[in-house]
Amino acid sequence: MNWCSTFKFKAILFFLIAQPFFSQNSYAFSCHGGGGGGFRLASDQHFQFGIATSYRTIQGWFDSLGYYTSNEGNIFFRTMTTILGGGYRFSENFSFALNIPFVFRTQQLKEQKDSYASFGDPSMEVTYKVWDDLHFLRFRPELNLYGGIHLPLGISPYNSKDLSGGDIVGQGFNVLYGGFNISKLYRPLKFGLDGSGFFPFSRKVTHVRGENLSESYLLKRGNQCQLVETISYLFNSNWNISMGFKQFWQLHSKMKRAKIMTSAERLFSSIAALNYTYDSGWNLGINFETIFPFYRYLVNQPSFQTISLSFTYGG
Amino acid sequence: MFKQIQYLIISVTVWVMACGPMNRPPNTGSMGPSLNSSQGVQLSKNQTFYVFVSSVGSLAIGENQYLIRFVYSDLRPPSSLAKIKIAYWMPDMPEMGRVEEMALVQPDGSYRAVVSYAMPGRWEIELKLEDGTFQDELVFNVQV
Repeated sequence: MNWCSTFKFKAILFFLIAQPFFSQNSYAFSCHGGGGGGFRLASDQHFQFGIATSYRTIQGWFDSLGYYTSNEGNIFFRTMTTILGGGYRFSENFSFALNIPFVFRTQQLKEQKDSYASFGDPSMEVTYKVWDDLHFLRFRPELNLYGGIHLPLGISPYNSKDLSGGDIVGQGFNVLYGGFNISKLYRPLKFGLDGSGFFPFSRKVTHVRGENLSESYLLKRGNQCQLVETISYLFNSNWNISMGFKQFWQLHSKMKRAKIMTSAERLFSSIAALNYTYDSGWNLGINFETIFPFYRYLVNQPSFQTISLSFTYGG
Repeated sequence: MFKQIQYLIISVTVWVMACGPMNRPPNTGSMGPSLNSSQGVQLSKNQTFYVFVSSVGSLAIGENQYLIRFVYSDLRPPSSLAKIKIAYWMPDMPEMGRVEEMALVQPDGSYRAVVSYAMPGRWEIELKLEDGTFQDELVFNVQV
């Protein structure tokens, strides 16, 4: 049956594509961006080492109700993050990965221009392979479950020395996370879906900007969840491109156990990537992320573009 | 199979696009008064002091200066030992933390405080006024 020809399905497809452009005040139950990121072992790899560098520019901010404020001409924020990562498979189903970010930030606030470099929050992750993508089983995908932790070792708002917060590279919370990754290859297309949840621990804040507070308070950042959908096209055994969407939600944070009603966050973004694999072990990838066309869905988020370059070797 | 795919697409579309405010508009009544860039005299929380707060120049991202004066509600001036502590934070981004600064007393008896707004949006400012055994506070919001 040619299901594309039915009017009902065309209407739904139009709605799906056009909604980001025509919505006025619709809000998705969506969350704040920024979760995840780092290296993870492929199912046929025993080990992997890699380095990825991303460059992000911020043009403005969306507030708690989604209204946008653009940065003035003499204000800019730029962040370059380099992640060193590695993974090792220590059994048929289990693998371990470690990611260590190094962050370089520059910002200008009116006439004051500053730059900072520091290690960010590293992460450790364990992945369990549930299913392999067996090509002769038409509908069985590759399924991985993973879990890990982000450690608050980078400079956070609580030990920052800069009043403008320019040297902040970490969240300041232990964040436990877990998720799943599903992918299926129907050559030359490959479909992927990644879902994860992030659970920041509560923190008793006694210092901010390195100064002792007269009254400490308990802060619990809202739990977060993220979905990433991708479609890849494999040109040949060396080249492939990917496109996808990411949705990120953060629920309301709590201060002194009271919910802060304006603190929820949401991010929708688009992703495009180009990858080149040489000799089945070396991989070079370039990745671009932007909030286009989901401007109306951002809540408590910066307006940004990010371009990343990654280089990995595995076997 | 076709029906299942349709329902799946509709469900995903509705779930992603579903309406519902992400955040409730802030209740300005419970969050305290707002302060425009122009000056104004306000009564402190327990009506102990009259407080005059003015920003030096219009508010913008980066460092901003506030000029603060206060007198008792019966118009007595404070003593030379009076202190003002200013605390500010962004309610929409609580993970950025609450910053506390001491306002510096000026030769003319006023107090000057430097506040650094790292990003645009709504900021809550809390002034803690202290003169010996008399203490009170004033909370207001600003939009940068």
